[in-house]
Amino acid sequence: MNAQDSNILIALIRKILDVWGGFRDFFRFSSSIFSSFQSFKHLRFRSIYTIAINQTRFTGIDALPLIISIALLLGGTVIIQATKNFPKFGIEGFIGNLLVLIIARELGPLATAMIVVSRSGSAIAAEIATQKQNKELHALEVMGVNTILFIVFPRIMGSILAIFSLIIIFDIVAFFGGYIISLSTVFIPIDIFIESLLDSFSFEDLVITLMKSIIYGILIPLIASYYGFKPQSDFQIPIYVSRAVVRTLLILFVINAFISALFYF
Amino acid sequence: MEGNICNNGRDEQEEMLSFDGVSYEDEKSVSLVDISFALYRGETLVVFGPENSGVDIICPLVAGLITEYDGDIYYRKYQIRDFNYLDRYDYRKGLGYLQRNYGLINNMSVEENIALPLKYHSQLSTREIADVVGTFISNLNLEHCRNLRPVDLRQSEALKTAYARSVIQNPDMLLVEHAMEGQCPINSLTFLKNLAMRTGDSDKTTLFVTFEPERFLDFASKFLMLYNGNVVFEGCREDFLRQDNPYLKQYLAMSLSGPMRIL
Amino acid sequence: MKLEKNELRVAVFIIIPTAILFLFIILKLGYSLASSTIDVYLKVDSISSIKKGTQVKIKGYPIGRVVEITPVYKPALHFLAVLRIQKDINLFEDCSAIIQNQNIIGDPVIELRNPEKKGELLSNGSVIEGLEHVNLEVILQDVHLLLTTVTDTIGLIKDISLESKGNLRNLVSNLASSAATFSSMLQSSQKDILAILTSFRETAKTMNDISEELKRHPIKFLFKKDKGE
Repeated sequence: MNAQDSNILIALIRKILDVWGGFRDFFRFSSSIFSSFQSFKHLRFRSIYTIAINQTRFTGIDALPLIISIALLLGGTVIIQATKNFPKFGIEGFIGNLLVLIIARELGPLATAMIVVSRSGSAIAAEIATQKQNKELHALEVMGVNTILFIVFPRIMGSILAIFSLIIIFDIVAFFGGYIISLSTVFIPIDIFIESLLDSFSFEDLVITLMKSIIYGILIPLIASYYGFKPQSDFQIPIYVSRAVVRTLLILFVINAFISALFYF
Repeated sequence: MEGNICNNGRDEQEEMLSFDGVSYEDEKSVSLVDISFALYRGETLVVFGPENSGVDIICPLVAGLITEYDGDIYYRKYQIRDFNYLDRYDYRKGLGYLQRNYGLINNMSVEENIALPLKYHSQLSTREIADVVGTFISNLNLEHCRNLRPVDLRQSEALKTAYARSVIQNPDMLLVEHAMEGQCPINSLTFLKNLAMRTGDSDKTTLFVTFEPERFLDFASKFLMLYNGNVVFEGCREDFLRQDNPYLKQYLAMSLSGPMRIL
Repeated sequence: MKLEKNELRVAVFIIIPTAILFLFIILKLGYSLASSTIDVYLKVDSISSIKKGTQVKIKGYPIGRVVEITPVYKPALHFLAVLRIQKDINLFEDCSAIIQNQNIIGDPVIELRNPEKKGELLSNGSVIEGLEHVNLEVILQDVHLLLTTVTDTIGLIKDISLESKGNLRNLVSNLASSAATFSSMLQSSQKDILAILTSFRETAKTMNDISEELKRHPIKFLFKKDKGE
């Protein structure tokens, strides 16, 4: 082994150790949330109520126009592809299946999570990083306010509620977007279409969708907060915000694949 | 050094805070070297000194934000370092801390900022909290900016908001860190008037950390000067006014010549 | 005021999707909002094709769905599927149920068929028997059989065509010889035809002379006797 090879090996090992160290650090941060529950009994819910409401509004309601547009386009695209590539005869029988398979099971939760990461994940990371640099977190700590409970916890609550609602809205809009597009090619009575959707969407799908909304609702603000707490100076804020978005997206794809493999494989 | 400056017959009073041989060093070379002093109930201590003298470490040490140091710091005879999670939570709950740059929460209005400790800690109803906050807002002339966010506030308004937030739970001990730096002398009078009322209360203890000790002359009972992490002067108001300490003399005269090396 | 507006918006934002979710669960469980359904039992040997939620149709029109499947262990293991179907559809006892696939990726459906001879109406708790089970595998087997038959038929046609090739060749050569015979016959009879034609021409000339004579002396021609008379 020459010197160059050994340098590459050392760099690789260092990188692996860095990644491992990052995971450990993240798990330490996550476990601090559990330890912060010690002071949960001292927490007055009213103090985080407004934060949770604002987070739900920002993550959910403010994202609605974007979610609706993307859902309509995605639902339409799926149906355009289906009507183009599948035989039109008997399409009413499997159009519900197709939408449930593609939209409800995979694209809906994933697209919603991606929109939430790009809007709210980045906002959470940037907000916490700015609060840290403005010594707001310091002020909260010396006030006896648990920063994890006060900052991260309501954001997790807000995100879970918002993502849950957004996924349902996304699915419904995508279904009907797909239906409207399909009308241009083949006539399917609305009741038959709804029946077909109801048939295709199983309780297992429902449970998985709910599970995804909870997992994404926890993970997105958690990872964003983790990176929000990281910057040591102002110039590091954009670096960590970018990291928060990219790594959250990566983890979401991994988790989505894992859940699909676990339940559908 | 033993913290027995200007006793004024307060030996039998409760000891609120004491530093016992505290040393601290960090990577920014800010350090404290074997610092000892005591602060009793009702006293007002002004800790001052030039930049990098170690004055900026005092409040974080007292608040328990820094835990890696040598020596002991006691609050009411309890070792701060030994506090567990909930003890530290209770301790900070009862401590007022007006920090440098004020640390106001930017996404909350003046009213929400002041009400935050009560909303988080107290058993008061929302209406009662609103009444208490209203009184503070009125006393500090903040009516006009009640609903403004910190970004829209003037320096004096931010100072008064931060002060109201730090004392709204009526803490026994208040830490005031570089509060007056950069403040308009006229607009900060309301703050000083309120501060004087508080320090006049024999039950309340206050610790000021500042670069301008003379601004607290009216209500300070003790002074402590640090230089290079060491205590170079400690005394009561009279000692401070006498200026017979070369460090103090150079500091107050803002002279380049003296025992302190000016950066 | 601003907070109240926020709270209201957030409440609506959460309540509407939750309500939709509950509605979906209710519909999925097969509860009609008008509660106009009856539960009937379907005896099946295997539940490989049906599951909870499988649609029940009559003549392709959806009338309900499977809400529960329970195993029955005696006398032999079989299953009872509870079909929750619309009350206003007239189904008669002795109706049959066929489990069929809609298409390759579609879920199976249970197609109910009324009997030819209509008896009592199907009531709540009735059991449908005589299930004809048609699943995708059976359809594939049928398709396979059909394809085999078609292949056999094509082979048979091929054999037949090979055998008749020789016969056709004989037929063609016979036809050729017949044509040659016909040609030689035509050739050999050519002189006779000429003689016949000459004879025809002479006859025609004689006939012409007679007609000329008749035109000039009709009486004489008619009453002309041998001079001996």
